[in-house]
Amino acid sequence: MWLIARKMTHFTVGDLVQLAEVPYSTAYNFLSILARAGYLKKDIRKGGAEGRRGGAKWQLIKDTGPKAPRLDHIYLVKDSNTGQIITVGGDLE
Amino acid sequence: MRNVLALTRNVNVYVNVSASLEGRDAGVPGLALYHGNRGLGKTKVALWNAAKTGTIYIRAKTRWSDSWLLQDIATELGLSFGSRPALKGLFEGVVGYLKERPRLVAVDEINICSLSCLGTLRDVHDLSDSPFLLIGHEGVLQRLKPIGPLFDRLLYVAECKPFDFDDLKDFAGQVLDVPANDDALSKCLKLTQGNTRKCVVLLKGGENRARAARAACIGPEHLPRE
Repeated sequence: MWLIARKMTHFTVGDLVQLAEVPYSTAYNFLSILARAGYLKKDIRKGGAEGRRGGAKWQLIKDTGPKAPRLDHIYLVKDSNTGQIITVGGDLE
Repeated sequence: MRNVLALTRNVNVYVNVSASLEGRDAGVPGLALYHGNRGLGKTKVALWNAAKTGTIYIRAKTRWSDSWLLQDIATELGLSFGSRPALKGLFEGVVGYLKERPRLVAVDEINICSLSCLGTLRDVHDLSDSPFLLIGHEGVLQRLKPIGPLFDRLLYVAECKPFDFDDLKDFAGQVLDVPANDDALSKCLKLTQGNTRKCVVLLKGGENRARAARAACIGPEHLPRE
């Protein structure tokens, strides 16, 4: 998915589904998380609303190289007894 | 319409050429050309194959210089030579890496490449023995033919062709949710001249109209007038 995002100037969720052969939800999650991380932006001037076919156009604004950024799960363990919050997993460990 | 890359004859040709390049015998040149008109899906198949197989994909630029081209390849290989590397170091670095770990490099829009960049690609290929698949649109064959040292090294020259009726039928069968009858496909072929991009647009519209009319299949009446 990262390769497709890097190589296509503007692309839709549908392009990722078609070319990377991933489910729609995987492609959409990938794009929305990377957008929140500042790698991508949704181009509101091109394409329509997001739908099953992925109408809205996306654009990569931070190309850091060929290795895809990893979407790691980070769990927060909150101990109500002590009020302590522990971060588990991801790159922050 | 399903969001899949249909495995058409053109896709199979690309896959076969890239696989043959990677699996070629020692001493056999590893350059190939995949060419065809605009709108036939060359870039899409190249990206799909790159995502699937880990092939390096780069796109030529009108203002490409030798060092820019080498830097683009180096970036895709994950190599870093600083912000303003010397051309010699860059060239030797890329050649050295590809010599150790040969990887297919697909270069799209090759027709806008300067003669100097084409020469550099040939040099990298010759010295590293790593395969290169050049992708270009109409006119690229005429452009490369006079460049003997490059043209003679082309192991395969494969053409990405417009759909004929059987291709379109195969394509429609793979992507349409509502089937299209033969009359509709014939009309589609006539209106689009077999251009993949135009076929997609036409069949998508036809499918919507057939759905709205609750028709069991897409007929010629669901496509625009000629």
